[in-house]
Amino acid sequence: MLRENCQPYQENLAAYSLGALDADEIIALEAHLVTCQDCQAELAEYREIAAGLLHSIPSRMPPSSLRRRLMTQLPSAQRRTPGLFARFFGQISFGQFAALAVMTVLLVLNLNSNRQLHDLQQQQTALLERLSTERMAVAMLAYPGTQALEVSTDIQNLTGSILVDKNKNTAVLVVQNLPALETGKTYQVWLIDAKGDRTSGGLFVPTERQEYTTAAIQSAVPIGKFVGVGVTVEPWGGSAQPTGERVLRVTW
Amino acid sequence: MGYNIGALEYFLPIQASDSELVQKVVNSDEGAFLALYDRFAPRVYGLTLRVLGDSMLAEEATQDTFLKLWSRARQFIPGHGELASWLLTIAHRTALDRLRLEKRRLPASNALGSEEEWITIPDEASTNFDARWRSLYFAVQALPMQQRQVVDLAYYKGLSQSEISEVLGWPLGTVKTRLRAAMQALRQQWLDETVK
Repeated sequence: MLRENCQPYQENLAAYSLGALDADEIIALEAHLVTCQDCQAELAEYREIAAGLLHSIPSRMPPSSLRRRLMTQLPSAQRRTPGLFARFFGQISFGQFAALAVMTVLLVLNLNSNRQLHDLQQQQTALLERLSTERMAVAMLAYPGTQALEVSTDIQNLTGSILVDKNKNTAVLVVQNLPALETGKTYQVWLIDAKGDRTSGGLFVPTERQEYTTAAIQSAVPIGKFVGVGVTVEPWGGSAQPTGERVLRVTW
Repeated sequence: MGYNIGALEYFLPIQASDSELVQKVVNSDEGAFLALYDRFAPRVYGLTLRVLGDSMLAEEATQDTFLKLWSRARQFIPGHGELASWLLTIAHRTALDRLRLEKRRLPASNALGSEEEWITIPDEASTNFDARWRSLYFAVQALPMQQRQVVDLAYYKGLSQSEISEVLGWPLGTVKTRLRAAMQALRQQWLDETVK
């Protein structure tokens, strides 16, 4: 049986599991959940129901054209049909397309080179990730709750903004004139809480041959739980805590 | 409606598990990726259609979901849950993001959408439909209509309780009470099934 002081929070557990609470209710409930194992256990049961609600929707067979369209967007199809490739990666510059075309020629000439094949596929995967991030940015711009906060930095010519909806677990960083990195380095995003503790929000590198770089910031909890974001230079693979030079910061 | 096994699955071991196929996708195996598409596309498409209510938007959301699988396969950790749950969660969020982008507004008279959305019963023989989910499906159907409405708007349309109150013209307290009652009923049903 739950303690009496759980009642106002217990009433919100089901709605929380469905993502139907308002921001102030979420903050209050999550603060309570940190210390209440009874509510955590009940929430876990509601989350099973919520997961089940996804599974319980009847299957519907999508049109066969969808499978064909998806196949045209896979790397093998991109190598065969440059026209479709250019349409799909609408934001890729001619320079990047030319670079990918050159890599394709190398692939044809070195069919037995597994290492080159692997590198090509990794770079194409990175392009897909970039497209996904930029689509997220466009989607966030349409959210009524999205704020665009300007970054602060000591680096000359560096400007940018972070798109953030504090009720969401993701945000998007858009930065111009981000300095190139030395070999073996990466940029790392840090989510900063009210106590000053840092939690990693992801790694990214500057986009080659593009004036701007976008990076998706991932959090296990709503972004509103934090008070700001910082970006530092870290060793490749990232660090457990910030160790390098701070590049930019945003607070709210 | 039958579940069509994609042609490519004939060239993969029939017993290839979800985790095995995902690991192949991590290594950019397109055959494994299409096998996963054939295995899960009906469920993903069904969910995105349920959220978006538009076949063209649902197709796009389904496509985006599987492209995210392709680019994020490395993030799936087999020991942390089923691939179906991971994939449906991505599909759910993708569809809700698209719904918000489209700024759909649900008139109160159509808040529940077509009853047909709930009438199409999952065919246990033609899909890999777990009995648990089938039982939950019927439990939702058995809810009073007003409780079903708030569950639908909260989870399948991504509205908060205050937004549901505004859409349906109900007092906020009424929305909260009905949502809580609905989930308590489903939870009890779920717990009873678990005991069985």
